Amino acid sequence: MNGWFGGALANASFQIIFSTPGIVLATIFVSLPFVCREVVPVLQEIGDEQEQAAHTLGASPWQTFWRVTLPAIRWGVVYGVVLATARALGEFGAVSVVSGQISGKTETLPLFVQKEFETFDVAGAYAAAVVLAVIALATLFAMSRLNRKEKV
Amino acid sequence: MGITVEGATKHFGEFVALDDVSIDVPDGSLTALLGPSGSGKSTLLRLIAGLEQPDKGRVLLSGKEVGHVSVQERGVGFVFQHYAAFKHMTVRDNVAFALKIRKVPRDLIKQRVKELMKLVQLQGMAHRYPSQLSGGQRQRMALARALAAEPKVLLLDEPFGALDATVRKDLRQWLRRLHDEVHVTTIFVTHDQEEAMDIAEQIVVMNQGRIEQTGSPRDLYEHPSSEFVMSFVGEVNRVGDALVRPHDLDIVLHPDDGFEEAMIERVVHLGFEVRVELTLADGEHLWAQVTRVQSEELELEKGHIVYVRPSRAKVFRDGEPSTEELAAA
Repeated sequence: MNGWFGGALANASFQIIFSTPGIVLATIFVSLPFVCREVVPVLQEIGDEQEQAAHTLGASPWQTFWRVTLPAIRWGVVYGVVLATARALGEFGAVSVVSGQISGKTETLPLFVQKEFETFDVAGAYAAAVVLAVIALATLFAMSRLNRKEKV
Repeated sequence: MGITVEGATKHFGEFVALDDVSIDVPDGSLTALLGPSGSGKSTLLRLIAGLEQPDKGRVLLSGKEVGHVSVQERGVGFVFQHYAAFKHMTVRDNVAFALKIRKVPRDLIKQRVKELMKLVQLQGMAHRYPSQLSGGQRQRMALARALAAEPKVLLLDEPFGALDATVRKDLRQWLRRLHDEVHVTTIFVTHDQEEAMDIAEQIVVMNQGRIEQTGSPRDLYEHPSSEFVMSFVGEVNRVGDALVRPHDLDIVLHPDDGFEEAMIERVVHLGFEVRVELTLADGEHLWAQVTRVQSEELELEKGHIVYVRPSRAKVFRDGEPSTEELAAA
């Protein structure tokens, strides 16, 4: 029932379900594939020759990662993070299941919109929806800016 | 720093990349590993660098075994066929990489990079990115980068393989001069026999994971120890059991003792050299290499009948390394 780590975490009185860590885990679960989908092809394209070259020049694996690998895939990472953010913003299903919807504590914007709508507070729902829309547009804008930068 | 490899064996799954290979590279020399693709020459180079580990055997640098020494600590410079340039860094930062890793003071790095840029003739390109350089310039940058930390050994894996013919010829002359200047023990891998003969002092010919022969360029050309070496380091004709170099074929216009009748199929003028393609009476094809002057004297033309004889030939008996010289008047 509790999986591999559940018992130990419960003993340490670390709450996951119906609290922030649960929401974070669920969001990572649904959005990480977007980062992978952007980063993996870039990694495949650059191959491992640059990393081997760094090793022969004396760089340790960590130095190689920070100075060679990460800068080489940076646009893939940024792009993936932006996409993941967009996905995380609108995530409803997974978060709704694990959050418990405790007002002011474990409530995300999409959950708030749904709650307001169901309690007939249409004005509150619209207001929150506008905030969501603005954030989504800002993300889109940021992404198109990055896209242009990458091509230069 | 001398390099010694003793009994190195390396498998990749079922494939035997190296089969009990031993070489000895004297300090300060320029050695070529020559062989067709899949002969194990790159694997041997990567073994020396520490980029691969042997299944069996050992690598010694300056007489010390380095099996437990990591790539980072071996102090080798390595140049890759496709440059492996750090694309997000300027030429300057690429060249300075090894020095930055070693935390060399800034002003020293600046000075050293300047020297290196001059050595590889890339002055004024310090602020460019690798994508703004030509192939030859990129490879020179890679060389400067590999030389920055003053390696005791320089290893080049088909360094000119991705460049076009003219740039390639220029660069190999330049590498030869650079080696005379820097005196670092250098091994380079190539499948181009002309390149190996042109700049190496010692050539190691490899085939199917084994060493066929080691020697000076002239040694290999004049005293090949196997049919493979003879046909790999130069062009050959097969006449019966014997192998004949195209320039060791005498052509005369009148029948004589030991000469065979042949018909000229084609005469190809390549400037100083003229290729004469012949068919013997028994239908065997061969070609002779003569000078333009000889060709004019004999008035060689398609369809003419001439008489040929090998002035030197070699026969390699199966399973026996011994060779015998034929004819020679």
